Amino acid sequence: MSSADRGAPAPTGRATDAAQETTMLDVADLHGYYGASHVLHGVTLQVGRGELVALLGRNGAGKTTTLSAIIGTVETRQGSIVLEGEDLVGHHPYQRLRRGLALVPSGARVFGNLSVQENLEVVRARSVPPEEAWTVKRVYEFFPKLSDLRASMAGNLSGGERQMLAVGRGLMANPKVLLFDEPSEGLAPVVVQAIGQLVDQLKEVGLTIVLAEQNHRFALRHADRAYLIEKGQIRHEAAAGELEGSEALHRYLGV
Amino acid sequence: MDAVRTGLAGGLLRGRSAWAVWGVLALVALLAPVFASERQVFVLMTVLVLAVFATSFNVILGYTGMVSFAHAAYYGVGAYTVTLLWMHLGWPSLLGFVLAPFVAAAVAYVTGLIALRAVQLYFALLTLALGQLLFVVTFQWRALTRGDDGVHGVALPDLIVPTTNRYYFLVFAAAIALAILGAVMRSPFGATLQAIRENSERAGFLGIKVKRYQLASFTLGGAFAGYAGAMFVVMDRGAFPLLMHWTTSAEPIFVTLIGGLNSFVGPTIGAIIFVLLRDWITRRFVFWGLILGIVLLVIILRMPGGTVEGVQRLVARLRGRRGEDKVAEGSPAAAGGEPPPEHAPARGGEARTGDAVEPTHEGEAGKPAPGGGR
Repeated sequence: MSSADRGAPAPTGRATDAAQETTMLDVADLHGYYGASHVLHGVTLQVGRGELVALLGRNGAGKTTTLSAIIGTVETRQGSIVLEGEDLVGHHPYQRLRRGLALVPSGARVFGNLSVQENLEVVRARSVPPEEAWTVKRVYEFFPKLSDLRASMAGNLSGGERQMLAVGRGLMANPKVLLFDEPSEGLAPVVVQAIGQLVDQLKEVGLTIVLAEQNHRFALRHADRAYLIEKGQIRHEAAAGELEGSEALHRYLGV
Repeated sequence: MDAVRTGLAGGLLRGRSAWAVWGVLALVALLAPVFASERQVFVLMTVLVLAVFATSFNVILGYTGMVSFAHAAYYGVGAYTVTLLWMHLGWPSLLGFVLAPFVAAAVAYVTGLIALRAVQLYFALLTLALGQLLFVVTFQWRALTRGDDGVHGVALPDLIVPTTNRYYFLVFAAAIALAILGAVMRSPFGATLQAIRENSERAGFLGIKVKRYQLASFTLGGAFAGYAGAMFVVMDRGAFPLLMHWTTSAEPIFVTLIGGLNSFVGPTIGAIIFVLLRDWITRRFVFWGLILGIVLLVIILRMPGGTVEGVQRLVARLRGRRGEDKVAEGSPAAAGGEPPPEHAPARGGEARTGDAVEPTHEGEAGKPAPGGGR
């Protein structure tokens, strides 16, 4: 699915009727809290099936918080998170994973004291027909590099390898939607390029992806559509192709 | 599922070096009675019991990252399962021995269910309360347990009455327990527990129902504490309420910290050091508690990761290597990416997983680390 040149069509990128039939993830008016402090002020975004949507914003704008609220590790008191027609609000993170969400956390936080293989085996996946399921073997076929490293302690991996493992671990959940938090953060340009290929690879498999990024150049190269977030609110939405060099980008990202 | 796995246990001591340690311990355990006096054999039995007790505790502390003060209660439940079935119903002690871990597991499951309603410190306090509750019941219900008098003189099968035979029975029993626990900790289940220990929130969004795994770990640890309690009865031929007192729970904590909570062998090494040291010191000093305390303090302060890590670090340094700790953390390039230097002798996993983990413990020679020697 997912046409590579989807950035160009979708005129304004609105989630209009065409998108609605195929909406995979529909987040509406989400309010998130860290204890008493109100950090998300009604985030609304939609992601179509097989679409790669970027969530762009400055440091501290609420990107990670949005993903955390969607997966359920940040408290929400208002709003809905609908995944293929099912509202996930009120479910624990592990239940959300089993309904089809997976988060690849920023900084590729893997379990350093476990081996690569153990990191993959730890996941308790959503159950799917065997032919669709991600197995350790399939992850190794997808990332041959990981196969060579399977016995290594994850704490000894390089940044890029760790990111690869974190993604592999995310895939083990058999997700419908992969929430990908700042994969380019703190990595050398060459490695970022490799991560970019990885993102394209994931798209080819047909995954629906939300990519939170500060590095808009990187994100827009791969995304179909993008939301700009600032102070816990979505400020702008556009097709990826239209954003580069735009006024909105300048206003909300300061570039 | 996949053929290749490393000999992994928890932290540092993995793979070939861990198996070498087990091999040495097994050899010493099997040969010890040839050289040791009867009294010394009895001391070694204490080591075996404590090794299983502490290893079962480390499932909860080292692998899952929870502190429990109820562990002695399950130890006592195991011991009383054997003694009470024998005393009241005349059941053979070996039958009680087999039942002990299951009874202890049931008790641990129920108390765990209650204690896990809280987290962290409050969890620890609840385990303290529940463990003491079990202690007080045992202490006061004289009709059932004979209270503070305890139960003594449990009949054992003739074959294991002689000290040496009893010793070998316990070596065998410890080997089975450690093999089972080792295999479970090496399975994906064990990895899941460690994931929870490292970061329970992250474990949550990987689909892991954290509380359920914590309860499973708590129950498993409790079961093998009960098993260790049954081993105690074989050694001592009796049971008394103090076995269940919360201060008894401090012993596996001590032992685990001494040996190291980041490796599967840690508690066993700790048990060896602790028991031999205590035996040696109590026979020489009047204020033995003071001396023992100071020695333990020094071990814990000087080797924060326990003796296992301490010795490994020492070996690494002697080989002229950089600390070999986890230099890796931050930078991608560092840490020599692919071929992890020391303890990851990859491959050959199947053979290893198949083999039984060998038993414990150690002769007077005191192979690991300081203090042990004369």
